[in-house]
Amino acid sequence: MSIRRIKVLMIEDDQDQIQLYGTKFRLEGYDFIFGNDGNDGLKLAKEQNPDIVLLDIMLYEEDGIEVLKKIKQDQKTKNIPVIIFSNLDKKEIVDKAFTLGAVDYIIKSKIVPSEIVEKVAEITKNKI
Amino acid sequence: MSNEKQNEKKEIGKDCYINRNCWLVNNLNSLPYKRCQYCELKFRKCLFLQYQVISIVLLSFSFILFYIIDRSISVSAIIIIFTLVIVYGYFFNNSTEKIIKSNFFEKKAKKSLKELSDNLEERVKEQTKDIQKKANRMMRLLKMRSEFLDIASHQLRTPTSVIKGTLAMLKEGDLENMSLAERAKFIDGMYKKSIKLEEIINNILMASEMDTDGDKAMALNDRIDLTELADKIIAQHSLDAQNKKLHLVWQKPDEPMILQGSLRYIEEAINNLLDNAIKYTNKGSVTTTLVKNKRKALLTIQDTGIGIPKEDQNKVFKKFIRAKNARNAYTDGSGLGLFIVKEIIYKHPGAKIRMESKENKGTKFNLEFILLDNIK
Repeated sequence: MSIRRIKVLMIEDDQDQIQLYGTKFRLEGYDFIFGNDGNDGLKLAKEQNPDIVLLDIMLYEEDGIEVLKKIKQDQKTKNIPVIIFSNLDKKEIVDKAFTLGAVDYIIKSKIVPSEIVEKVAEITKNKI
Repeated sequence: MSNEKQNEKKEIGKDCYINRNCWLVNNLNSLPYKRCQYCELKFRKCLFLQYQVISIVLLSFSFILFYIIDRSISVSAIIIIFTLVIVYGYFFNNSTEKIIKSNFFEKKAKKSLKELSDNLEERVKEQTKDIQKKANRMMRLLKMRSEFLDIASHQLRTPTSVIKGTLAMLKEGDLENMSLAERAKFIDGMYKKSIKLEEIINNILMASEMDTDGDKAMALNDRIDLTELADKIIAQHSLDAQNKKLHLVWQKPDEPMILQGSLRYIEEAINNLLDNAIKYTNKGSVTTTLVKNKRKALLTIQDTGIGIPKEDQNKVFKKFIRAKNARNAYTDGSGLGLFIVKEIIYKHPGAKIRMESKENKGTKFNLEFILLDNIK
């Protein structure tokens, strides 16, 4: 029996970043799916049951914080760990994200793709 | 106005003042004594009148007394009594004047003191208001600054994170596991982000220049030939238009159009508008026309692009605001382009900018400048 692959859902509206992180996760042996906006992401979270969500804050149409709230309110998705993965470094937003149940808040420009892969591996290690 | 002036002249303390409370002054319609110009009392309360009444009473009493005691009134008694009355009268008259005058000046001083304190209170209130206003403005500026920093740092970090991430993967050997096509796409993505980064840095610097300059006038010392400038900028964009298979139309006028302004900034403004027109147009054309209308030059840049939704049309000239469909097309614009254009145009006296747009049909920008020959 092969080891189950961890499924990562990235909710992100910038195609270049989807390409960058998607390629890295796939190379490292992860299933990678993405949603281009909040609605798309929520739908995928419900239907695809990912092991972890990487959520951007400055999304097209909807604030990432709102999306986080909805993920945590829905019975189906509330147990999926959510990492806020954004370039917005604002204390109020960070505090709010943790209050709403985010497992981590990572600033994209401060890390390289292998580090976010490591972080995801650490959080999902007991899911394998 | 003249009525007011007259009333002012008739105020208490002035020569032509008539005390309307005093029966005597009112009937005479003139002042029997100099001191009456300082008096507000009723006639029956007049000090001098009281003196006179008392004098008459005392006079009668003295004569009656003399008559009872001596059974006759001697001439010497009459002389003594009248002398006393006259001497007292003289001194009393003088002191009455002093009393009335000092009353008046005391009252006046009290009044002006009250006015001063009222005024002072008002001035303190006014200044407090002013300080409050300034404090509010400062708070607003601080908030704006913090918002600016938040968004500016986000905008700068986004391309940085992609460039850094791609380079890190290159360094870690990830690219070797990719196909050639994938690798090319990766490198291209990084290159595009580095150009974006430069663009955002330039825009942020330019926008902060606009902000810090504030009301300070821009140095408008250049003599600019708009025809030549537009010609140059359009030529620089021909490759971008060609790559997107767009018709870049330029209806160049035969004559130069000279205006005075800042060459660097006007170039930036036209450049931004043309950049946007090409960026947000996927098929069709971008047409630039320049015509002279009496003393004005009218530059129009019209595209057949995605347009600006009605609800966003008022907002796109604000800092960091981008139309929804523009964000959808390009996630990483700085949101500063049109803000910069607007600021530049407004800093040129007489210059105007107008925008007409229809979603999915296109956008038209009109720039209007006053020509130099007519400024003189």
